[in-house]
Amino acid sequence: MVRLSIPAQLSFRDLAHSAVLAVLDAEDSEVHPDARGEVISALSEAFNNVVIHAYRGMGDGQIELVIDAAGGELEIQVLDRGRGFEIDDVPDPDLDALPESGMGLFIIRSFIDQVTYTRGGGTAPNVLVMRKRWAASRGESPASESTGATLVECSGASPGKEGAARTDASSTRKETSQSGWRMRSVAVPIHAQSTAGSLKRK
Amino acid sequence: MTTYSRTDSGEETILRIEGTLDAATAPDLRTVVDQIVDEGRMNITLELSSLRLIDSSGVGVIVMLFKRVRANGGQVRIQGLRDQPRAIFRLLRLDRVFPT
Repeated sequence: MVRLSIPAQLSFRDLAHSAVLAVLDAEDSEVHPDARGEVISALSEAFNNVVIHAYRGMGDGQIELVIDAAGGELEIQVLDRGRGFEIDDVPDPDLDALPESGMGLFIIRSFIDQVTYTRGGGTAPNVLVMRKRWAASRGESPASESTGATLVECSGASPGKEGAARTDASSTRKETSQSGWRMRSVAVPIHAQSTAGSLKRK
Repeated sequence: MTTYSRTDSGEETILRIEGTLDAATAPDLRTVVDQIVDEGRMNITLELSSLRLIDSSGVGVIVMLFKRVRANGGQVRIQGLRDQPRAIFRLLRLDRVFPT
């Protein structure tokens, strides 16, 4: 686990990226580039939201990151002490209207398997938790202390690593149906969502 | 770090964007977009093969360019999109909007 506290300034965002990728690589050096890109995309938007919205007009603030990876799952907690919001009140953008803003949370929701946000208050920080799963790239099954979702693991014509990037059943099915990979279902853990405003990947 | 390079050839303008296009760098691109639109350039190609990372702020400026050029009767093409930027464009369904 890595904890760091960094200034809530866009110039420090690359530091957050580096920390997350270091934790990810330490857990599994063969995570597919697509999955890495999705994590970085989501983290970028989360970081932007804190800098641009939570701390707007509040002077210098800090962003705390708690990053952990185990059992084929990456967890990133983003904590701030700025203005919170109600995540369920944020609608998805109308993509047909070609929006120029308001896409950040949609990107997070789309690329991350499980997103929870707890609005802070008093001395409690706002906490965004993003959990991203990826299939084991070396033939290891993720831990399975509890079940609640099905992950499709791929093997066959393409290296397992190729299938590893896809971490939800629907998107994996899409790829595997095109490539003809074999599929089998394995149980993956779903952690309890103990906070209000939780979202699962659509 | 982000680098922009603009090449005008006849009616076509090629704008090459390298590096990262995000909330920190998008304002600079906005200035470039203003110049292109103010000059009435109608045929724009964004060359993005060296674009490493884009976020929603960067996408917003590209969409703004698209809307303004289209409103003037022109068009914007995307070239060389790959990796993380391509995933973002696909997610936001922009791959259906921009000829590539």
